[in-house]
Amino acid sequence: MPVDSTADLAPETRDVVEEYLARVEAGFCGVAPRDAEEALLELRAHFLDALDAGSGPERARTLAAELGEPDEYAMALCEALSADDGVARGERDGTEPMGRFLGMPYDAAAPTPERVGSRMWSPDDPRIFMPRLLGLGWTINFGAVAVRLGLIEPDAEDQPFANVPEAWLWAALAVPLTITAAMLVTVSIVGGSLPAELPVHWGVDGSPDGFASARTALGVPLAAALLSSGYALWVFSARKSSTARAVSSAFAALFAVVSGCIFAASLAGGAGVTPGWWWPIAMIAACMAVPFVMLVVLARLGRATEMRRDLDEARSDAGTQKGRV
Amino acid sequence: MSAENSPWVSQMRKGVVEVAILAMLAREQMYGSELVEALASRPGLAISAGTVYPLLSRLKKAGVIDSVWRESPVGPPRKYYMLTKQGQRELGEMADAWRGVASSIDSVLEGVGPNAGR
Repeated sequence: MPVDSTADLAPETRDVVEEYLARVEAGFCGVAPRDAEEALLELRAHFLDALDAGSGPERARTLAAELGEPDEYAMALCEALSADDGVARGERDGTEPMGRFLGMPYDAAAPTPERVGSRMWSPDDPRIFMPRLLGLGWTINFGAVAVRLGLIEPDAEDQPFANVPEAWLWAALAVPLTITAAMLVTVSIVGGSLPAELPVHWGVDGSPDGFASARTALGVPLAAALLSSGYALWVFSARKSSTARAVSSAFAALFAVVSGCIFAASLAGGAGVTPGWWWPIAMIAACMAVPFVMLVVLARLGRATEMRRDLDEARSDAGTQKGRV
Repeated sequence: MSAENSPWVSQMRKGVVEVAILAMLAREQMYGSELVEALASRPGLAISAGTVYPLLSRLKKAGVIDSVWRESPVGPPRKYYMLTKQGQRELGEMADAWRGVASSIDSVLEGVGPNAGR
């Protein structure tokens, strides 16, 4: 006789069933409550169909064993219920943003070198716009751009930048450091002879429409450049992977170029120079071009190293074989 | 929505693309874009470069395939992929599993669909 509720089962059998159901429920992760409830009802019905008032706990255990471990069952359910193309990929490689605001992805998690890397340089991912690292919007996947431009193959390196020669990684670090140092030197030279106020904001036509004290106008971009250089230096001093070092150098260079451009525009404004309409375009181009060129050069160096390693090996193998013959 | 692009079809393809790649590499060593082209020429699979490359790096990390830069007959040196011993074993298991699934599905599907008579 099939039963209608677990209450009609023998107490020991009921305990086995209830325990299994409770453990499945505990294993649910981010499933909508209604879906979870429905799934549990279905699972309960499955047990009740196969058991009757006289079934012993052994029979229930066999049924449970057929279903598999409760947490695995729960995980399979979670996957089935949240199966979605983009989300699945994003979750796997950590590019899925924390959430969306007005349709734009946002993310407030710390930009670890690994996360920076997966956003800025993923040549095997054709998406050019990746959910942004920090704040709101998107980040450009320079790797996808390089692939589209034919500068590198999506699989050119086994692990991006893993085989870049050490000296070139330090050369990459020198880019943000040099920009920051140039800003510091400039401040120390012209710091005494500045007007009280400098422009910090410009209208569409390029004429300044916002001003701040010279200290703020130059201090804020300088602080931003110092911060980003400090970040890259930290990554190098912490002996992170080549991948992390390459990407954080480019990341810091991007911020250093942005800061440097604003810094230079404020100084130029103080000297009476009004930037032309092309200034914002040139600035954006520089911000994109500098890290892009750095990453492409490093990736190609890494590829060259890998290629040389394999081709040399093949040649020396051929050589020894010839010797033997 | 056409049947070609339905979520079910794309889910199903995602499951079989791995076995397709391993089977192609078992036949001959290929480089990335060659593999992408070979897979794209099979309309039923409709696998794009965006699927193939991440999968290749995952399979390589898992030790199922290996890669090596080699001079190619035409053009620059290329990174060729090949199965490892473990990959050959896994492909064999996958092929058996696939045949089991395929024959059962074919038998339950007998007579279903507009193209069934052909």
